[in-house]
Amino acid sequence: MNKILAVANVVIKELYRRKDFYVLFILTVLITGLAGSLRFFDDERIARFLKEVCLSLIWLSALVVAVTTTARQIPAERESRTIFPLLAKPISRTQVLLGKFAGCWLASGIALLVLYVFFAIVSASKEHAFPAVNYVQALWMHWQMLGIVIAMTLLGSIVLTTPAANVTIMFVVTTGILFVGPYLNKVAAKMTEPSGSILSALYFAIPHLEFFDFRNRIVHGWPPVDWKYVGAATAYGWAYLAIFLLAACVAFRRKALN
Amino acid sequence: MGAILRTEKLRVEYRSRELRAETKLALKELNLTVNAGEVFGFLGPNGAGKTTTMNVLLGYVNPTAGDAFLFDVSVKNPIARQRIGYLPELTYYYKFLTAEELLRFYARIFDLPRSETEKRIDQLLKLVELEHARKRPIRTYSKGMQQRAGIAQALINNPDLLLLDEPTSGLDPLGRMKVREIIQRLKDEGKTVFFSSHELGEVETVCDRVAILHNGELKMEGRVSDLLAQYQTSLEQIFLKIVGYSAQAPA
Amino acid sequence: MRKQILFAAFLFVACFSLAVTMELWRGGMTKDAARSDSTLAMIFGEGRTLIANSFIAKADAYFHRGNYPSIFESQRVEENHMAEAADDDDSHPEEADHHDHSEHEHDAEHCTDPTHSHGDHDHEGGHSDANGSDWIERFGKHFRANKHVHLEAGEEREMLPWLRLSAEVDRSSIESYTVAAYWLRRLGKPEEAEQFIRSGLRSNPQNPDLLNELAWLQFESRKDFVRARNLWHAALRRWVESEGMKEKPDTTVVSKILRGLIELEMKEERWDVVLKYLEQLKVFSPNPESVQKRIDTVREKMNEGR
Repeated sequence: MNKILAVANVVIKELYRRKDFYVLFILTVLITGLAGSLRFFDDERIARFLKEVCLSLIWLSALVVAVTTTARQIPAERESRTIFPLLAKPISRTQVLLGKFAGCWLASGIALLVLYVFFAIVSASKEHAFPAVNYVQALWMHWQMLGIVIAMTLLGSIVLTTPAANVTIMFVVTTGILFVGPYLNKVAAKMTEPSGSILSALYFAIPHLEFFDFRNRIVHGWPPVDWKYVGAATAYGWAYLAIFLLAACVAFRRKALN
Repeated sequence: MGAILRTEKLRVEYRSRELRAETKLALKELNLTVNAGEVFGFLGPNGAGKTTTMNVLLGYVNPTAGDAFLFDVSVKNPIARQRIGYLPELTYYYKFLTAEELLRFYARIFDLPRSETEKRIDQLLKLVELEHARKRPIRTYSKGMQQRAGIAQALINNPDLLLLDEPTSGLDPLGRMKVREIIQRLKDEGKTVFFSSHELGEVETVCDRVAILHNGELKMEGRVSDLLAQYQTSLEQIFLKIVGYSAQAPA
Repeated sequence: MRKQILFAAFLFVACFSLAVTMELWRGGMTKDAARSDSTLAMIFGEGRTLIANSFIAKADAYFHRGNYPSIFESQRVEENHMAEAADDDDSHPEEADHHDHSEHEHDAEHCTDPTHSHGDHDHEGGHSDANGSDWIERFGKHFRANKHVHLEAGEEREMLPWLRLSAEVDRSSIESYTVAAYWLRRLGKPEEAEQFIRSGLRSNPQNPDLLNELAWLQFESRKDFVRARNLWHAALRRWVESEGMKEKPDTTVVSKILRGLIELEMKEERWDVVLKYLEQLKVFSPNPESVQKRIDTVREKMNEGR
């Protein structure tokens, strides 16, 4: 575990020494500020539009941070050949990969925390309310979703040839799952065979990331979800996370380093 | 003295993914033994199989047949690398880290206690003369400084066996001298050093024993002093003769 | 890096083209599909409409506190709403005006009517199949906003930014102006409502729908019946000019105008004029029996008066 955490620690250090997150955070603040300065029909009490803009930016920033940070980990290690002195130490490839995953996930979690604190401040400034339980649930679920995306991206970084291809595919896959994934069964029902069955199988195979999207709940002030469902969704997310990580470990163990 | 590094009928084949491409035999039944306290030179022309042997020892490549052992533990097990230090030919380190952060990171991989880690970091940075730059990111280092940081990381766990891959390659004369001094110091401390090099003069100076590899086969293995006595010539001439160059070379 | 930018640009263009194509295809399925001589103009125009429509849908989603059907479900929802609209025709004159503000907009008016309640029924999958068809859907419902509720007590203001943005993106989006003006009136902001409709009229001069909305503003908020009547008359004339000669005219707007006039004349107790407008409405109404009932009622009132 110590070895995994050591690798994770380096990933986190890399994230906060690179400019990516700061740029995204500043952009989020600026665009939110701009949206906040808009006055609609001279009504100062309008809050949800601003909350929605801010949360959408947070989702986008977090996804960009998670995918781009993860996608470059293994390729960068191979390209800069830092993987060689690392693997010359008593650490297995599986531990390196788990360390990379833990690092990316924790780094994304830290980035998310900063972004949600900003959101809470923005929201409180407009609505004078702080629904802490809702925020904790939204943050937790968002982080779990990023865990799945990170595991998927890590697998992609081993299987796919270039980080750019991996990043593009992961963005398309993630947004595709979020927007279309929940309705694949409905589309499948209207299709002829065998396309319908294939799409239906895909519907059951993909990780349903929409479970983890609490944006609407936060924007529109829905009450918190029963914790047992949050727990069940977390277990569901971890199952996918484990599948992707296992596949990544198997692929990485077989991968030639040169 | 027991064998610290051992290979048994080590065979490595590289299979190409392309159809009808031939399988390349990189190592043929390599048997090698390095004993404790030795400085062992691993020689051979480019493509002889030195890097492949090194890759197997470090666990980067799985052998097609045979096995390799470090401290009697198969290299397939990561724990075999608990007591080794490795210095690659070129510096490949996380350039956003400072030297002390890099050493702390590797110390954690070796599960070193925190107090011992800090003590080792101080000692090593002093040894490689990087104390003044310990808090600077590695990307700001010169090539020589980066190579010294590499030596420090190779020694972080106070290893009993050091694997050095062309340790003086690309260094200026001063840098080479410093590396040589460090190897000498390690030898004096009773450490085992296994290094590959093309600098035969250097090998002749620091090595107790050498092995010469050619086309994946071990052509010769023995004590440097014995070889010099036997052939009555320099190590460089012996090397050229063994790899089949002397026949065409002008007398 | 250049390759990545080009690839990203390609993806963006591909997605945009696909969205526009789908919207055109969807538009082609409806009777009021856009027609244009220039393909390029059509694509750019449709692109703007696409964004504006998505903002209107967003406003509608806000009205339902985030519980909104996807495009995969909306068709079924539309069918349901159309059925509801037909049932409700003419029973709530002004509210019926807003049935076609958007797919769900009539719910807004229904919600304001204490006698009409949707209750907490499920909005997903076209108001049916409350339990979902598989475990993923059933499980997903615990995380989604899935109760059919409406904004109330002034919270309706939250929809306004999206309607404003929709109008700014596509100045020909009449729906954005009329829906926003309606809610501004309801929120006690007649000045802002009038300003917004007038900006709509500047971009769409003499639009009968906008004139109708302005008339409602004069009638309801300002109680200026004379101006309201003039505006409705102007709207009616404009409708006749633009739609009257068509083989299949759009009767929605004229129905709204007539309902407005009926309301106004009933307030003024000019029953013979009311009768005249009701007779006209009967021609356009999808539910003429209901209009006939009203005609009978008015006749009874007139007889009682005599």
